[in-house]
Parts: sequence; structure tokens; C-alpha cells
Amino acid sequence: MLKTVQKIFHTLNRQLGSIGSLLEIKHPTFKKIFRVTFFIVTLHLFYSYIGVYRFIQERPCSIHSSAQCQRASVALNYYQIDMNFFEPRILRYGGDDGVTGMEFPLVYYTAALLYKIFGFHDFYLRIISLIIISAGLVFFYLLTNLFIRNAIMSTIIVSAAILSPVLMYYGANFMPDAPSLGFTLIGWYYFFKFLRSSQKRDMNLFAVFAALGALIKAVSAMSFFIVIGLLVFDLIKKFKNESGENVFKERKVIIVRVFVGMFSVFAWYFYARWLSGKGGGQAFAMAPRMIENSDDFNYVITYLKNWIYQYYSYETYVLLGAAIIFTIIAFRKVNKVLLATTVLYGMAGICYVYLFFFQFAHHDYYFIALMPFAFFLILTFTDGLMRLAPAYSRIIKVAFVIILIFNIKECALNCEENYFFRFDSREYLGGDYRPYYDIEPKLRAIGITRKDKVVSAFDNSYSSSLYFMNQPGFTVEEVYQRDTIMTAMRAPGVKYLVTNDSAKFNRIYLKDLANKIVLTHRGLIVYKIR
Amino acid sequence: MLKFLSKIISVCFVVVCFISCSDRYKTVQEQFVEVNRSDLKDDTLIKDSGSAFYFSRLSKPNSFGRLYVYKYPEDQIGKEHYVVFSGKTRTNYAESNSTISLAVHDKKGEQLCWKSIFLRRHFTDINKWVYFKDSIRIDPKYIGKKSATVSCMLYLARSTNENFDFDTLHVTVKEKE
Repeated sequence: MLKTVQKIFHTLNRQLGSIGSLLEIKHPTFKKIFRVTFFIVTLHLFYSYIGVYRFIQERPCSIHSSAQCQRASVALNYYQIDMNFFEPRILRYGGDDGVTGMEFPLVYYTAALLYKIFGFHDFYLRIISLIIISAGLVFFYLLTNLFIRNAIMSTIIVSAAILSPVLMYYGANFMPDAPSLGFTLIGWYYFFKFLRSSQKRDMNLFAVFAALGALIKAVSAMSFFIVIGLLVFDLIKKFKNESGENVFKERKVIIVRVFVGMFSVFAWYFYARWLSGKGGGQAFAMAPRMIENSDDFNYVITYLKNWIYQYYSYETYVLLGAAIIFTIIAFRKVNKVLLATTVLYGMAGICYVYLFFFQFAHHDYYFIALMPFAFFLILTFTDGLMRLAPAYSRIIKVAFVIILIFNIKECALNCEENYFFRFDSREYLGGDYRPYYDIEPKLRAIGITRKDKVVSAFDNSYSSSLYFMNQPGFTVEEVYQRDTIMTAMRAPGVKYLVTNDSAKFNRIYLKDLANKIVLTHRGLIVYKIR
Repeated sequence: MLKFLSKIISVCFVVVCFISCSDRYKTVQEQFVEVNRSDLKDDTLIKDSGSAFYFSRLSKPNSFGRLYVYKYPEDQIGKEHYVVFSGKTRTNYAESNSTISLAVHDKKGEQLCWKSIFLRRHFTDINKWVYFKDSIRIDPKYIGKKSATVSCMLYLARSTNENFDFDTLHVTVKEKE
């Protein structure tokens, strides 16, 4: 019996070997082109299947539409008001003219440039974000290929890592998290390339892309700390190649680039804080938000239960669990630099979660900064498995691939369902702002200019209604805020009031505005108040 | 060449696997709910003064207008349905409370769900006819495992001085395959 099984295994092994050699492309340039094309086609198929292209023309909507509108308004203001890169502004005026400190607005500035060339459309912001994260994934695939040396295998394991409903949703979106991840992944590719090539150019590129990642989302600066950690590991002789030498030969090159990168990040956030203080607009959270007691902890956990399978599918958690167990058992066999990167990412992730734990209650996109840990864990696991596989059989590889393919299928289905739900229920999840979508031409037609300030009541988001109307001013939330309303109505420069519930507004603001109506539109009433 | 061809075939295989999983919708019911004297509920039939067509008007204290009832087919139980409404409507009230509402009842007449489309966001101007198209999703969980009846109607909530006018309503029921 055992002999028969062994025979079958050998036959299968031989057959697989011949298929493997049949699929081999010899020419190095063709090989590279094929590899990248193959991955891009796969990525495109995933996007297509999940529904990314179907909703790519949507305006900011659904979960966190408020934060999306804030970011989108920065690009719109660059385009319509001032292209000064160092003065990003939003439509809700905290200070004089909406100028506020924020993350490095590279994505929004690029979008504004595209608006200048092609005209305004939210699509450009979504596509820029999608291109950056896709480039990051392509480079992570190339990094995987540096270790695995098999295009199909690399595609499969990267696919297993990227199929997160949250990442897919924020991939083509207005938030900075996905582009930040994209730049960080590009940076990691160049870092590992540098370890092999020792070319300064690669380290320079690492510094540039890692810094861009961190500038766009501060927490991505953890990649710099991880590189410092790797240097420390190397110094204490934890990594040794076959000849017993240190892996990091050009330590000075690494240290200089890392510190230059970190300095640029600190400099920007220092400037952003100063700008927020100066303009009085603190629209973007740039400080940690920890939990303070057990009630806070329980509160966050309650919400995390809803998010958990939107971060990753159940199947991916099983895969990650298996990867952790395997890596612990076979830690002597796996690549030490990869293992150290994964462990350091894990540790940095724990610090990040500790510092920002409260934000995890309502902000699903905070998870994106943790994703490199999962990426590196799966890469370490696969690399270790591939090192062990030749000692046993190709069967291990094939079994692994089959498991991953089923995993990918289930995860893709979960992503598709979640993606559709987020867009299908956009009004329920992010508020119904459809009446504001097409009011702008009517506002202009009755003489309301882009610079006229308005009070928008009632709007539970920070500035969504202002963004869709393309009008600067103030928003009043749904709750009865008499003081806010009075302050907004008396603010200098405010000329118009746009309300979606005049009865409710009149209960707080007792002045009769009936004879001041200048426009009605889809349930909205516009009053000229000054 | 053969090697490259093999890879192309494998890519095509993956493409087919994924593309074959996409959603399709098919129309299972379609109905024009016309304005005529025989089907009046709480609404009034009015002849337009400017042209020769009739429309139905709902105003308080009356609440319920045109009605379309269909039986949820038993062979489709457990499937997701979308009821798509389109037509021509008008109001005299800027913050209109007019709706197209949908109620699902089981065999015993017990109400399983009530959903509404608020037409307010379709009225770009008051006292002007507008064309609209909107839909309501019926989740399979509202249907249960037994047969159900879906009633679609015009419903005017709250507004005391609103005139909610309606011309022909087109109802299409689509099923997610």
C-alpha cells in the first residue's frame, strides 16, 4: 500500500517537474515582462470581479464619506482657489480661509493638476489612489519574486495577502491610507534589492518611497524604525550569510538615508501642526488617541467585532494563523531578514494599535497601516515552505498552491460582497447627500458665487454637504446646537443658509425667513440671510 | 512558443473562472399602473388644465394612492428582488413628504416589511413635473420561506398642505440570479 502511494507521488512529482520546465521562459527580459504583466492582469481581474471599476466614478460616499469629502475638498480647493502646495484648504472654515494642516497632500495636488488638464471629476482622485496602491502591490509582488522565483507562485501568495475588503474599498478612494501603503511597499522592494545589489540608488529610492508613505500617513514611518531595528539585529550578528559575514554591508548608506527620510517626515508634520494652529482649522487628526479605561476598551472591542471580517476574511485569518505556527516551528529554516522584518512589523503594529486603539472603533481604514505585517508574514511563511519543500517533494508546493487558490476564491467572494454592500448601502452607511449633487449650477444661476459663504443645516458630517455644493462655509449638525447655529449665522461673510429641514431649523432660529427663500431644490431650501 | 502558449491558456482559465461568477439581473414582473377612474384609492383624478391628460392627486387627510400588488413567486423564494419604479410626479411643497412605499405581507396578512422611496430628492422644482427612477431592494429574509404578497403604493406622510400629483407609474421587478 505504502509503495503504491509512494509510486503515485513519484509519478505526480515527475509530471509536475516536466510541466514546470515546460512553463519556463528563458529570455530574462521576456521573463520580467511576463511576470509583471501576469500579475497586473491578475490584479485587474480581481478589481473587475470585486467591482472596483463599476463604482470608480462614484462621488465620495458610504463608510467615512465625511473624511473622504474633507480630502476631496483639498484637491478641489487647489484646483479652484490656489495651487500653492503648502496651503491646503478645506471648505469648512475654522479660521479665515479654510487653510489647514494635514498629511502631505501629494495625491490631492496631483488630482488638482489633472482637474486643470481634464476638468473636475472625482474619478481622478480615485484612479490616482488605485494606481499608487496597485504599483505598491506590483512592487511587493516583485519583492516576493526575489525570494520565491516563481511568477505564478508569487502571484498566488500576494493575491492571498491583498484580498482584504477594507483594502479593496480604500484602494480606489479618497483616503490617504492606501496610497501610503502603496509607497511603503515600493520602498520595501528597493530596500531588499539594495541588500542584494548594494547600489546606493536602491537605498535612495527606498528613502524616497518610505518617506512618501510616511508623509502621506504618519504611521507608515514605522518602516524607518524597522530598518533601524534590522540594523541593530545585524550589528549583534543575528543575520549571517554562508561565509559568516554581516548582511548589511553599507550601514552608513542606510543610516544616512533613513535619517534624511525621517527628518523630512518630521519636518512636514511640524509644519502641518503649525499651519493648523495658525489657521485655526484642525480638520485632520494627527495625534494618537489611546483608550483610558476598561469602558473605552470594551467600547472599541464591540465595534471591532463588526470590523474584524472586513479587515480580512475568515480564511485569511486561518492562513495567517498557520503561517505564525509554521514560522515559530521552523524559525531556524526561514530567511532571517524576512523573519526579523515580520517580527519588527508585528511589534511596531502593537505599538501603533496601543497608541491609536480608540480610533479602531469607527475607523476601519486604520487597519491598512498594519497590513505589511500580514504581507511579510505570508512571504516569510512561503519562503520557509519553499526552502523545506525540495527536501520532501513538489507535492508540498502543489498542495500549498491548491489551498491558497481555494483561500483566494473565498476571500475574493467576501471582498466582492462587502464591496457591493458598501456602495449599495451608501446612503445608509454614509448619509444621503444626493440632493446636493446637482444644486451647484442652480446656485450659480441665481448669482451665488463660489466664494460666498453658506451655513449648511443639517449635516452630520464635517463638510460633505459643502463639498457637494462646492460652497465654503459652516455646517450645523443634526442635534440642536443653538450656539453653533447662532455663531455660524453671525459669522462674517456668511450670506446664505441652505437647510434640509426648515421646520427643525425654525425651532432653534426663531427669526422668520419665509420671505428670504431664493431657491428650492430636491427638498433643500436656500435663504438669502444677508 | 508552446511554453508561452501554456501560460496564456492558464491566464485565460483564471479569467473564465472569475468572469463566470458575475451577477445578472432578470425582469420577473413588469406593470404600468395607469391613472384611471376604476382604480382610485384615496387619490383624486384630475384633468390637467394645460393639456389633455389626467393625473392622480393625493392630499391630506387622504394618504394612500395608486396601488400595484403582486405575489412573490414561490419558485423565487430565497432570491433577492429589486422593485424598480419610474414615472412622472409633481408636488407643491419644497420639503415634500410624498413616497412610493412597499409592504410585504405573508399568507395570513401579517406585515413582514415596509420600505419607502422618499420622492423629495427627485423634485428639482416645485409645481413642475419631473421624471424619476428609483428602486427598493427586497431582502430574502423579509420573505421568509412561505409565499408572500408585495404591495406597492403611493403614500403621502405628514404634510398637511401638500398636493402630491402622479402620472403613470411603471413598476419592474428584477431578480438577482
